[in-house]
Amino acid sequence: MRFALTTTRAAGFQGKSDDVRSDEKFRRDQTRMGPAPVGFRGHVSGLQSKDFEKLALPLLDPLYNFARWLCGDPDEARDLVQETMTKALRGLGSFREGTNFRAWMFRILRNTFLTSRTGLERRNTEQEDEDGFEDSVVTHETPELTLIRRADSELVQRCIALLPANFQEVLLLADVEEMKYHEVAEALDIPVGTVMSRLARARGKLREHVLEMMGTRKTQGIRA
Amino acid sequence: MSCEFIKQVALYADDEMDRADQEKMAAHIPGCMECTSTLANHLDLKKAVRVSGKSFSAPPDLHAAIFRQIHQDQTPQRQGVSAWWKWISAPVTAVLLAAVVLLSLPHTGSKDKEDALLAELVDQHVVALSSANPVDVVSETRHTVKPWFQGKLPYTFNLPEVEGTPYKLVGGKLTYARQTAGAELLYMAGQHKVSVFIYQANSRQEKPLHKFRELSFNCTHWQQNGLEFYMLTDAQDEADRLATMLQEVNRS
Ligand SMILES: [Zn+2]
Repeated sequence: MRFALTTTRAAGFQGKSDDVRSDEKFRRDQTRMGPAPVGFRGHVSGLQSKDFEKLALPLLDPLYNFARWLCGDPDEARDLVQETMTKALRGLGSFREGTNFRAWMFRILRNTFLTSRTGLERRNTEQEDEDGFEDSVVTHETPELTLIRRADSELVQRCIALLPANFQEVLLLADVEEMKYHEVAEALDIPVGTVMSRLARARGKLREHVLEMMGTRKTQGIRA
Repeated sequence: MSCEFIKQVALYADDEMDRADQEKMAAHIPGCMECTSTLANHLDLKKAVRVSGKSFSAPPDLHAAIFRQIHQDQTPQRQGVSAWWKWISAPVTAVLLAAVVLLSLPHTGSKDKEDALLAELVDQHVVALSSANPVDVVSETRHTVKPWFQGKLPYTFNLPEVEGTPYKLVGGKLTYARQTAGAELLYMAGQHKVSVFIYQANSRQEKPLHKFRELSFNCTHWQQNGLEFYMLTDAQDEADRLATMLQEVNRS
């Protein structure tokens, strides 16, 4: 997969995923005059590239990690992060003050991913539905207590990889990036309620996988 | 039978409750076996995901590429470059960028090789700027940092005393450029990071301080006593004295 890098491609990036302003005139003005001044277009504050550097560089590892999980391939992840940065830099002026910068960046990354070939393939595969959320919020039997604690990180990693993509991403944002529900909602462009139900389902599934794998290992005697 | 609070344990574990509910929960949990074990399960799972999910970190050359990307967007005359360089793998990009710099800088007498080296040093300085752990030996005193390199490099160098100056030593690490090991020292000049690279020189020739720009960085190069020095920083002139201090303590 390759990401097109032209401005026109970025302009085609719209509709639901309209987080980078695609207005050509806006962009031209912005290039000519530098970042948009405060008060420009209502709440648009416009971020300076200088600030962008300070805010974005620390997000590089988290974004790359997320990209690797999404793409499953180092080269694709790399391209995805670069394309995200390109789009974010172009859309700096459209960044609204008070919006969460981290969620904004993750959102651009994910939307860019969804327009890539791997992302399109993913969209065409069935997604796990969120029905039965209530049922999944059950109490957990005590025997598993400490079992998960003993699961090694490689095993948990394999179990996360087994999760459907929409479960995986909500889990990664909430528990790896330690985002609040509203941030996850912003990044994934879904309501907070959906974040909560998806997260509960994702955790339930993950727990199942982990316990299953640990059970298998135990009976097979792999674990010393 | 289920505790009425059980459904809120996840919210509690995720720290998503308002103050009042949180306090209520905190008071309830210790006395309730069911909630206690559910909370423990939640926290265990969260921790497992946090540890296992953080599996990949961006390769160093991606740090450098992104840094360039940001800075190229700032300098309009380089915007033509940003369109194509991304299509090429990073090592090639470094060489090509060096070639662009070679054309655009009055860098007379310098070899392509030196420019490729410079591109590598810029990458490493960028890594130092963006990395959480930029050095391998963390120390503010030269008496710790200098001996750390002994036995790791086939040559020695001296570090100046920076106490009472505007500079602070952060630490050092081994670095590889041009397939040779060298020393990278990280200093702070006020808010600016300064990377000093020390390599074994190819000749005994002495070269005076030479200041120039490489991408958005101020670079100072000099050669003395069989050692070659490169200083990279985004500071303007704040680090000039540090170069002079290094030069002074490394005279033969
Ligand atoms: Zn309870």
